Amino acid sequence: MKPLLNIENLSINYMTNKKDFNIVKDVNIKIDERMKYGIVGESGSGKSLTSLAIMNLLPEVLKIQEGSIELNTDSTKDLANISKKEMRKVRGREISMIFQEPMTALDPLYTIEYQLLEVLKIHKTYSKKEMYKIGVDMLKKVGIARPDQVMKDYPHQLSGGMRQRVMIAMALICQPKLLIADEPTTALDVTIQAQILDLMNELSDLHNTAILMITHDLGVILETCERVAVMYAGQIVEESTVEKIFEEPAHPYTKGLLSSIRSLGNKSEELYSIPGNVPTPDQYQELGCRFATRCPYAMDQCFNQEPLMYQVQDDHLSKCWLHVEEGRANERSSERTRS
Amino acid sequence: MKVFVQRLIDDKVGLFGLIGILLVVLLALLAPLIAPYKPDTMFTEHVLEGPSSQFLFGTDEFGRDIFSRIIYGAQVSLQVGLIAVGIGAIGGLILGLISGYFQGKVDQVIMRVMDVFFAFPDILLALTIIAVLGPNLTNTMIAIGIVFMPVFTRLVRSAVMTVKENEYITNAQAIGVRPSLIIVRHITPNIMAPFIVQITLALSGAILTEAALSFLGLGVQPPNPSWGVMLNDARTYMEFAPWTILFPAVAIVMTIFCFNLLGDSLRDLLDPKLKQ
Amino acid sequence: MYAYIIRRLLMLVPVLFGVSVVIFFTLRIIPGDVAQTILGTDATKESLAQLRKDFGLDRPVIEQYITWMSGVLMGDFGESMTTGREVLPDILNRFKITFELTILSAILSWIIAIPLGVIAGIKRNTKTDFTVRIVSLLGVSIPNFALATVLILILALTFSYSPPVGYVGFFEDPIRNLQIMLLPSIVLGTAMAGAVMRMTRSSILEILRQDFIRTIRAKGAKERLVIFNHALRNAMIPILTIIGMQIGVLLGGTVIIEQIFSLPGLGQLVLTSINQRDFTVIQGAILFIAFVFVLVNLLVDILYSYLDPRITYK
Repeated sequence: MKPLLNIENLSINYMTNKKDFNIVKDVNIKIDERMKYGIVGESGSGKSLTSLAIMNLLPEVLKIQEGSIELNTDSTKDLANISKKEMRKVRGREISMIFQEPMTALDPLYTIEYQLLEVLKIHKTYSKKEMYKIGVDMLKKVGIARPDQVMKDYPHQLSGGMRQRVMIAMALICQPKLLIADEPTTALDVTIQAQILDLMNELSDLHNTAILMITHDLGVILETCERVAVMYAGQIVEESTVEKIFEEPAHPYTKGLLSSIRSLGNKSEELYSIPGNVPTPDQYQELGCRFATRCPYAMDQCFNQEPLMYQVQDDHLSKCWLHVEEGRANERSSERTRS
Repeated sequence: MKVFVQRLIDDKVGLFGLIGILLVVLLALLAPLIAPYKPDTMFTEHVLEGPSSQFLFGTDEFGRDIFSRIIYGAQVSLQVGLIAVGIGAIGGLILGLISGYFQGKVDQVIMRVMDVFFAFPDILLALTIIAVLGPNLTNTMIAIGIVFMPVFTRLVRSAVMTVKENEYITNAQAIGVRPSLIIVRHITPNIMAPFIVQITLALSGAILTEAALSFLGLGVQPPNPSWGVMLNDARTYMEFAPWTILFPAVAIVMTIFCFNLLGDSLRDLLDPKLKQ
Repeated sequence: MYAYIIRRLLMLVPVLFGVSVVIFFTLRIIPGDVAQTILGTDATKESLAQLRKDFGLDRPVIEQYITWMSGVLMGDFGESMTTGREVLPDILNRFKITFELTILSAILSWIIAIPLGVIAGIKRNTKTDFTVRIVSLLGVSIPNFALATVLILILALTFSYSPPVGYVGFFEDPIRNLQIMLLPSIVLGTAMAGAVMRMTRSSILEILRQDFIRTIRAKGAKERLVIFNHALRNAMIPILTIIGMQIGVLLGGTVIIEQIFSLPGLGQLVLTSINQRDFTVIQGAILFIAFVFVLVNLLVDILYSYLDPRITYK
């Protein structure tokens, strides 16, 4: 069976009359129906841009340079090459999206009713009464206690958590196949964060909606996702199931990320952080590995040649020269034991 | 500062405005050298003549050289602009600083008075003041200066209130620095950006208002070569001597346009919100 | 809401009181003898004394003010010092013309400026945008009297057209009335059009950067819906601010425009009365204009709350 969403070799460039440089490079992601997939990375890693590319919502100066974004629902479409009109039918109906800032993601001048039902008006042909009922039901489903009241409210009358619930209701009201959640809990209080994640999990199971979770927080990934891609400086550096990434991280960057959160829980150890800063796109090396400047294991090769995606185990990819070295070492040692 | 100048040069629109203004300033300063004739010399044999090599922009109903009058008119416009805006800006700066810094009752009184001034449309307030003082060059400048004061007061006041919230001001207050010193050392430099933008825009407004008042016969009085006066005088003859009206009109529009171009681009450069 | 409007109306009282004080006392510090100015140098001593007595110019200024103000509060603005006619009916009669001129030029300028501003905002940094920006800045930079004279000149030279003279009321002959008012309205509205265009463009740009616009696009909304239902509606709030401020410019501009086009409006009345030093008319007319102006600003404030649910007036 074809995956629901199949991103192949996606590259995004920043392009103006004066400048042209690469930002996101060679992203490959497969998301099956009902799957919960996570992309984790620091800010500036290209994770959000990848999600905006799926929605065709990249800012004007950013363009898809290469690659395909295949969406398999009733028909097969390449979202990297699609007319605006076709794309509008996908947005909100087949793929919907919720954003980081619930405070600013709603139009301050319209009631929740208007903004919630706007999606339905765009894509479906229900009567007003039916639409209202669907809206109220949806608000109930996202755990809003007085849906009739909230329908009449304006965004500024709701708390951040409530607004994010409304955003989720809005995103799921047309029963899309895929929900993209870009840092949906980052701006919320810690106590509310867990509630919102649970709610998303629950509703995605209920509606058979796949989730693409974009976050900088490995904890969120652990709580919601089945598979995860780790992004660094516009590239996926490691990809596997959540268990494998957490238990047997292969890429030095993933290892660094994990040690930095683990050292948080462990008081005896010094706080670990990866040395240096995330490079900005104009600092990306033409050749070599983009992580090499911060990598404790960097070798000469890492600065001269870009590593390939290496299959470390079944269903576990990592983009690092170390694996090739280890492979050679293993070969040598097995040769030695044989002789 | 260097970066700022560089960016102004990169911004061609603003640069165009600046060059235009410098040109007008140069014309005004060097008027006696550039202008072929005195602005009030009457060539009685050459009344209402079209542009020629002798009279570049033609002559008016008294046979005066329009080109020379426009150049001397630049002196009047700039003089009114600078002095009127000077009065408005300095007055507004003082009132705004007092109002914004001390707040309380002083602030209440100053702002209520400003509210009253805001209730007059600009030109009407200027007209009334001139009606009282009598129409001439000095009174025109005073009237326009008073009209512009409330805008500056309000601008400075709100800028001061924003800056005042900053921690370093609170600290300075806490360690007992005198208010006058805080105002001069800490607050004034920090409100300069919006203040300078407003000055540029007010200059264009002042030049425009002067021309309008003079056009109505209530500003600069003839035979002073104000562009507004020239336009008004020309209305009678304009159909058979269009040059009498076109050249002064172009002079006014271009000067104000250049000030607005510069003001606009300064606002973009100095507004932190628009920096990317 | 009504409570708010009433409270705001009450707040206008001190402002208008201030206006009346400023205008009245400023006019009284005028140098020279008012009666002499009005009647001319060859007036007899008796007629001068008569005028002073009629208008109470021989009494203390405070007393004069109180007399005037109590009249104003009763709807009696006094009599003209030059014509002897009652001031208020004259003001109201002439205001009809000024009102029509102001409204027409405001509407004309919005019809042109808002769509162009929106287009420039959407097509940022294109040739269209650049053209709109330059045109709007030119609009702000052209003094109305210069535009008026040059337009009249061009129309006369190219079409041998001259603006019709002699005002005709709208209800007497609407078509002729509009013929008369069209050119003055265009001229008067140009500056407002420029200002509104610039504000529309910059607010549309600002709003289009907001997160909620992305949310609406993510819903699959057509660009038309995004622009008109959401971006423009949000942009209307700052646009409204500039409109409120520009109404003052329009009201002031009528003084010049009515003079050039010989329209017997309030602006013309102000100018004539200033030239004749007709104090009762000047102070009455200016107080009236200030009243209209603050009322317009109140209207703008009320419109805010209609547009923006975040603003609640209690």
